[in-house]
Amino acid sequence: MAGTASTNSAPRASLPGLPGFKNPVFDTQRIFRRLMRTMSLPGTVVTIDGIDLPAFEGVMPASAATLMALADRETAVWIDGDLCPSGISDYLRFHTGAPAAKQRQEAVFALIDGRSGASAFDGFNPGTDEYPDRSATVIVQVEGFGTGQAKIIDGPGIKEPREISVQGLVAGFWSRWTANQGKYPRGVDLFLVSGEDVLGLPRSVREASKEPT
Amino acid sequence: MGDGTQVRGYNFAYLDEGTKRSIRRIILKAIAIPGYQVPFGSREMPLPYGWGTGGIQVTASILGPDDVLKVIDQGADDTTNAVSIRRFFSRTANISTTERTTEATIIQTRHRVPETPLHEDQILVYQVPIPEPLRWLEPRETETRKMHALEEYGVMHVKLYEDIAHYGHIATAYNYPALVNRRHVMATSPIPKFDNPKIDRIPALQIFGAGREKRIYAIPPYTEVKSLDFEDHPFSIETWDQCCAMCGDTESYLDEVITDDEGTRMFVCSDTDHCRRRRDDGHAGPGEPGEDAPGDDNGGAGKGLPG
Repeated sequence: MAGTASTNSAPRASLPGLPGFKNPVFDTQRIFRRLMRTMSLPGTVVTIDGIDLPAFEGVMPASAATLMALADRETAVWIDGDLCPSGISDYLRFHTGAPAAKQRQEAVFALIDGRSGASAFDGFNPGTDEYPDRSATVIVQVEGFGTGQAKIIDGPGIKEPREISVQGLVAGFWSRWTANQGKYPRGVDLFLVSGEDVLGLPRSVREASKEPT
Repeated sequence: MGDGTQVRGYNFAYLDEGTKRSIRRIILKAIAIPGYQVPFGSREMPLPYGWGTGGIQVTASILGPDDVLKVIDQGADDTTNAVSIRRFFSRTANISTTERTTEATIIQTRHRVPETPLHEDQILVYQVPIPEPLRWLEPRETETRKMHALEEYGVMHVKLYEDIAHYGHIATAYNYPALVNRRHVMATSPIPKFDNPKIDRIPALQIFGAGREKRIYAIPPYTEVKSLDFEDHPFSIETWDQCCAMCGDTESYLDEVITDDEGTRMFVCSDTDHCRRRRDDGHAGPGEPGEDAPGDDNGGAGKGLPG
């Protein structure tokens, strides 16, 4: 009875004062469907447009949209050190309840920069043999798709082996990806993000380019 | 057919946003590990477990206002379970529904795969009673989980071999186990084995929801789904020596329908939309046994109760 009033007046965490989704129900649904499409048809680039979230320095629109659509209080989010000053972490905590992960291993979602070797995706939790789903989903910000070194990928969701090219990945990215793939069914799943574009890379996808010898 | 009579007091598509969010995360993981059963926090739904609560929660989590929903129960659009689920979503989400496979963006199904080939922009959602293919062979969840982790599926082959030893052939006719992406053995839900080839490397995304058992699993498009078999006892599907009494099709899955109390029977397409399309195209079958004129549109009757 008396509980409601005291709950409402309880002190809150810092309020960034920035608005969330204009239409939470349909915005999150639309973002999810596009993420599901690129995850189920790897190599297909989807565009998350028309989502009007505030800008955070260094954080691409599709990165913020993905975290805002999927994170909640059960998913610790790890933000790359370079992106921390942007305030995205507080913003996410305020709007979704998602706590900031203190260590990479405890992160359910992570946001990192593709160029940054220090925060490579292979430091995150790949799940266990019995529960491979309890693994991290890592958002890797890159410079663009369609340019850069071409790679052939194959696996579930891919009709014929197809070519993708991603610009702005750290050297050794693809050998790390192969190592991640070698843990299957364990492993992390990636969303490569450039601006509003997203390219899903589930752990089941193999890099199948012929090595230049 | 969104008729503007959305019920008030519920969120879009009934489920609360927090639940949708967690189910969406589960679906993405299920897609990343084809055939692996991901545990999820299944909710109470306004209908009993066993009536498609898993499929309904998946559909509610992916559904948007522009989607067109088709629901089938054993291939039929007009049976109790299909009608009530379609009505549930048209009332709670005010979305369009259809009976035509080609018009649908999401097809929720109980135990059949439509005869009409699906495409990349369609999602097939299954209602699954028992998601664990090893459950009848090993009752302990801790053990079956270990067996999946170690890819230890010998017991499943022994079960199929025992069929051959008892009956001379593999007698499993539905929920026929399949190996997905060459890694996880999956329950195909009680679809007839006739449909197993239709879920192999198809362009549509397939998501399986088991509400009571609290599991979701998925098959991404173009993913290999290989029915388990032996070299000397290869997988085969059912065949009939009849054609559909109403549309004359010899290729589709046929239901046997008893038409009177003297044992007279007829065979009709299980997929009512497929059958209707063929009749609209001018195909006709031999008709009902007896003197009734063909084309009486009650195909797929006789199985109103979901199991």
